[in-house]
Amino acid sequence: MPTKTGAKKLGAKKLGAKKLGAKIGAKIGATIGATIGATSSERALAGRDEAEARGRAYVLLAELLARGPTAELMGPASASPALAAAIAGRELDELAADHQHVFGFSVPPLEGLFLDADAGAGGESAARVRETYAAIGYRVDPTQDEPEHLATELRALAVLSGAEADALEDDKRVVVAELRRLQARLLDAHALRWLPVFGAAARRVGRPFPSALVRQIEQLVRMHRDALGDADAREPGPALGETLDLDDPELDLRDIARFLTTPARAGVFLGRDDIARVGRAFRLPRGFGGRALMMQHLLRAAARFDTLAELTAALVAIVDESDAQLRSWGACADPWRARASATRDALARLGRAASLPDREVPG
Amino acid sequence: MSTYADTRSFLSRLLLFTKTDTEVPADPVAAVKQAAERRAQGQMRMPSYHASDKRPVKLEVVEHGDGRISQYPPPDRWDDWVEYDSKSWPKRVARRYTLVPTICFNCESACGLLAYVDKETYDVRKLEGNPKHPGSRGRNCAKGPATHNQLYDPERILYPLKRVGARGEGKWKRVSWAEALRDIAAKMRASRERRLDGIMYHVGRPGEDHFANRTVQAWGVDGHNSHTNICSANARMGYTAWTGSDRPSPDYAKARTTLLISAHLESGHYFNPHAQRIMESKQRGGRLIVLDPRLSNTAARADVWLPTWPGSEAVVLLAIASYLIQEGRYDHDFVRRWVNWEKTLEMAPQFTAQASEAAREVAAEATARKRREGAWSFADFDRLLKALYAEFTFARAAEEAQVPVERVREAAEAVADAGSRLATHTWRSATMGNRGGWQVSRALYFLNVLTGSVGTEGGTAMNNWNKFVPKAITEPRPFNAWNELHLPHEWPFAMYEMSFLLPHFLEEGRGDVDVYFTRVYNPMWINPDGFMWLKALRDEQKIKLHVALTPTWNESAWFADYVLPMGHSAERHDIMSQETHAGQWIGFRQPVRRVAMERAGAPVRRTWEANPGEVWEEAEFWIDLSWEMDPDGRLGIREHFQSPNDPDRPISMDEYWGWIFDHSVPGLPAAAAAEGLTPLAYMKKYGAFEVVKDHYVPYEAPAEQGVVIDGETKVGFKTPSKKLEMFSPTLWDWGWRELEYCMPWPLESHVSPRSIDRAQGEMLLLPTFRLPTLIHTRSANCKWLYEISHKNPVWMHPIDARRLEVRTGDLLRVETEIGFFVDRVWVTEGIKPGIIAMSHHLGRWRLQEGDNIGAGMSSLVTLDEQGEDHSLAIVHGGAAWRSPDPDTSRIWWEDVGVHQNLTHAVHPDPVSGAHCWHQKAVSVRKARPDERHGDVKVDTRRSMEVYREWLALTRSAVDHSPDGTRRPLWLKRPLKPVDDAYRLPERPFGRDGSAEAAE
Repeated sequence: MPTKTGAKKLGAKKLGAKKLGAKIGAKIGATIGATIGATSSERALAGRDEAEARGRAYVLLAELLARGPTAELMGPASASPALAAAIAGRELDELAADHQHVFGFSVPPLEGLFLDADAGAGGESAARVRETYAAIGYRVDPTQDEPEHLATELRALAVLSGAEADALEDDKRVVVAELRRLQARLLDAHALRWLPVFGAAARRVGRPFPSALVRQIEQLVRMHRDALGDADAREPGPALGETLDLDDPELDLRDIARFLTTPARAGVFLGRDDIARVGRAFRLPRGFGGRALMMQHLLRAAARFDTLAELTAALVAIVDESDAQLRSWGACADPWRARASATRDALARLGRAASLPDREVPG
Repeated sequence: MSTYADTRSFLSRLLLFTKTDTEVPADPVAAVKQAAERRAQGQMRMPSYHASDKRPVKLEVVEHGDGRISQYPPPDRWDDWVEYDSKSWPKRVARRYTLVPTICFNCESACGLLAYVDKETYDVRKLEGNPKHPGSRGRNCAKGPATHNQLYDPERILYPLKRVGARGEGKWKRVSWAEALRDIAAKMRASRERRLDGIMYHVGRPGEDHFANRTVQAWGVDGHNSHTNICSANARMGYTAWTGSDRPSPDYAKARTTLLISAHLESGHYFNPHAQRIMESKQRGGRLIVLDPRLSNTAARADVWLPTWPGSEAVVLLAIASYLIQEGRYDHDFVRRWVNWEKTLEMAPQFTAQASEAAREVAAEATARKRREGAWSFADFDRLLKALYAEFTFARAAEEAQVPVERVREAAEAVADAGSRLATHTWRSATMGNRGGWQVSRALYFLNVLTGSVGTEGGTAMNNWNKFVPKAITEPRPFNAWNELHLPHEWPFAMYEMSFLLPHFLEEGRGDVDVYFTRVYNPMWINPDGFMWLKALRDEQKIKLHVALTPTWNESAWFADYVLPMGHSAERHDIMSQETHAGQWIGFRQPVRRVAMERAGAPVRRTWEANPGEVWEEAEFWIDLSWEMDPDGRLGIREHFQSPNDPDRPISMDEYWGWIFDHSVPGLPAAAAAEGLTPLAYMKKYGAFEVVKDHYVPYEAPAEQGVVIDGETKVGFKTPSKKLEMFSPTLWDWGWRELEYCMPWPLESHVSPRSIDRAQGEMLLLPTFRLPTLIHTRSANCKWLYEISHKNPVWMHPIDARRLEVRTGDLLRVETEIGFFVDRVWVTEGIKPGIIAMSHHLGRWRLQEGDNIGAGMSSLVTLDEQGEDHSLAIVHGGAAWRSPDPDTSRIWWEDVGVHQNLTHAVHPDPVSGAHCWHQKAVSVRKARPDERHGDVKVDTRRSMEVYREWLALTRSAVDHSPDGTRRPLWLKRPLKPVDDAYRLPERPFGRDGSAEAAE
């Protein structure tokens, strides 16, 4: 288990996002000539410069994720080839509207939505991430920040990266080691536990800039975690919730809908866009409300119009698509993949049941 | 790995950027602002509270005037209040709060609230009553504490949004306040430099007493538009004709008899301060009379309930007046001293031309006596009253109102017994339901005049006597402009702007709007004929820039260009006063998180830094917008918004309100000094101050210039004669010369029994009542309030239900003059036969899922438009949804009502301009299987036809102005221009080449 030694104890003072901004902002440009050289824009970074650059990248990505694309952020964002490609030729307003649609409506980047048993925000995940911030010395303003938002987690990582850069510059190796351990802990206990499924869901919406942003966050996080090596014992994957028991005589469509829309149980995040897309494909009304309610409407309509088998096949396709995205993540995605596999089986069985003449579909 | 190579490239390139926008200044003020900026997650955060190891503080016992006792935190402990958390029960978890007084914003009563702000997290735990508030006295209705639910509404708008796609497409992007201010101000400046009628501020409920009006006046444009014409214009007209003041202020607590034309103030949204005083009166033996065809909450508590047929109210009231007159039970001396009876006698030979023979004889005799004796005789006036009003018998009243004659007599006896302690009130209800409804308030106040209960103890004062509005630091000059879209020449008496006809005027080509602000106002939903609004709001040639200032999403904001989030009651500065009783007080609304932060030593420069997201307040917004509009001061605007201490910067909130409390509130500086406080600190601490107590008969006060009464010069009233004007010379002079206009007299309603053919299945649709827990658009996102009431079924009497073969829950199709709607029926004896009734407030809708009006409080609809045919269909009703607030998953209802207003034709009263809300239901029948709940269909061709039918009833100033002006100079306007602006236009609309546009 991580110790309570945090950035404060390491002499980095108690760091909040304000400090983070000051550190990163002040450092930007100061090191360009010294480290990179006036003409080099792509030389490989290492050590202190890498930590410095990583911190800035986290800040930038957090801002893009939280605030959406703004004119001020477009310059730095274009430093990412992936983001630059998504930005090219598109109006800023269009990018902003896409951002609002994906992260403000369809797939909110909140940890609890993915990890909590009720797929809700402000629950256990929020409490857990607060504890982590307290342990690493990252100060979240309780009146300002949403602790379980991915942007907040990225900002915390930026603080630690910036502190690591300082420690490297001062050649404080013990401090560096502790900071790296804290970064690993933050990644393993939080971002890495849900980022794979979040990323897959956000990309499925199919909006170029949000997809590229998520992709860039994933790559940075993975590169970061690989660079940390075994700085800390990797935590086990998320403790996922109960699977679906199709043999339960009390099971009804509401239970199935709730299961399918709870990522911690189904192994996949079905966003409003997913549900709407499937509904459109089969011309089924899905209603509005929470995702569970939309899914319930969709299932009920499918049962009523004899398209449950087709619907479950379409849902299986989404599970497969999500799973394909998870393959490259390795061990941290294993629990999700195992659960997705179970969900695939359950949906297939449901589809088969729907095809039977006596319609043994839970009602 | 190639992906890492891309990322490494990204990191390397990133170092080339010398600066990002993420730097945080060392300045703590800027740090607070930037902290707010970081709240960029797009979702509303739920509150959290900090546990304390302190011991709870004891409550203070407060005795109410009606004998009830309540307990409150003593004010000297408000800065550091500790109490156990009820939600943690049975564990004793202490919470530590700072208690900040503010003013409720969910209606216009301005009741006091006390916000419990957590001292660690600055989250608001709850809102309770402020015991130091003279109006509400520590009590609130459901809407006050429910403010908490609005503050933490997961669907609320947290950031300024700018339209990205086409209007109504629903594509928005977030922008900074600076960007919004810059863009809007540039367009305003461009408009202001071209014309003085291009900017329009359209306010729903002001919720404050001067700031926005002062701002509009400072812009130098005729830019104030209001919702008064769909709310109270008829009532105002009746009161104004009598007194020159436009609103009553009954002293309920001390009344012997209270007579209400229900149901607005006492059982609608204004009710808290008044209902508690009415109950005080009843507990002391006072009697309550209610006229209402519907068994309202108020009617249910009445001693005499008269379920009158709409439009018959004036006849009932004049029957009571006649009883007082014939029996000699009126206050002769008061009438002799204060009524313009000489002028009435002088004009009687002319206005009695259509009256009874007896009345004509008395008029002639009185004139002859005047010629003989050189003076008018009050005895003749008494005779004239007797002759004129003799036709208003109890029997006639009972017949026209369709009520038992005994009940009318009983009511008359109670009025007669009240003497000078008669409290009366009408506001919406009958006045706003009927064409000529202004004669209802005129007939009602006639009873106060006859009983001498004008501004007396237990009587009925005028609101300007009991409402205190202080002067601001500078008073902008009146503008020299007249916006024809506000007050066209056809309605010279309009009370006030003809706001609900704006789309019809635009359709006719009467003008356009450069910058249109809707502020806590949802015109497409709240006005009649909403599809006409939809056309107007979509038309970028007619409304070039639409800026919606609102705390929550609404139907109209969806068609705006900017949606700017404004705070709820606990998130903004305002001052307010209301006429709750015979006294004057002033309340101070405060952004409670900001105040709590400032108490803790954290400076806050702009209120949006302390509010959730970037929710702002209007006072600061107007200051910064006006500053941006006139940065160099060339337009003369900036001078009204600059700091008195440093003209190079905008005035701060402390400077603005501090100046008012220092200079404009009599008694406040002394009261503050007694506690060692500045006036501003006093108001921040207590949130309210009582300026005048026991304020009675101010018109009797001596004056240097006024009206001579029995040889003494007195203040008098606001009419031209400074007397109570029974005969109205103004109406007479401007062409309304019939008896039924220039004297208190009934006018036939457009829904009188003669206009409703019940044998043919026609009915009267009464849409003027409301549920006391809701408040138009403002409560639409309040789950707590919607849980109490969320649907508006059609009330129908069992007799009618049997005729139509419907039962409670069946679908009913109601056809109006311009379309139809389908709603469920509720069979009840609480409504008069022949009438169907529906509450407004309900039937909210949205066009898209998500990011909108709360899913539990609105229906998702489809909108189909084929030329002038418009239809709305509900896809599904309210539903639970997942949000940071777990409560939104507990929405258990689906029926959130039907938007009936869309099917209402506009009915502008030809005198007051009021929209006469009652609708003729030309057909009411059980819905067919293919007709679904919430279906609405409207033909806007027919909308314009009905509009023109009513327009034809007007008497234009062009034809009737006695002096070449557009409007009597003495009549109130929310913002009055200079006298020169009153001159009739050279080319009035419809009277020259512009007439073709009207065709």
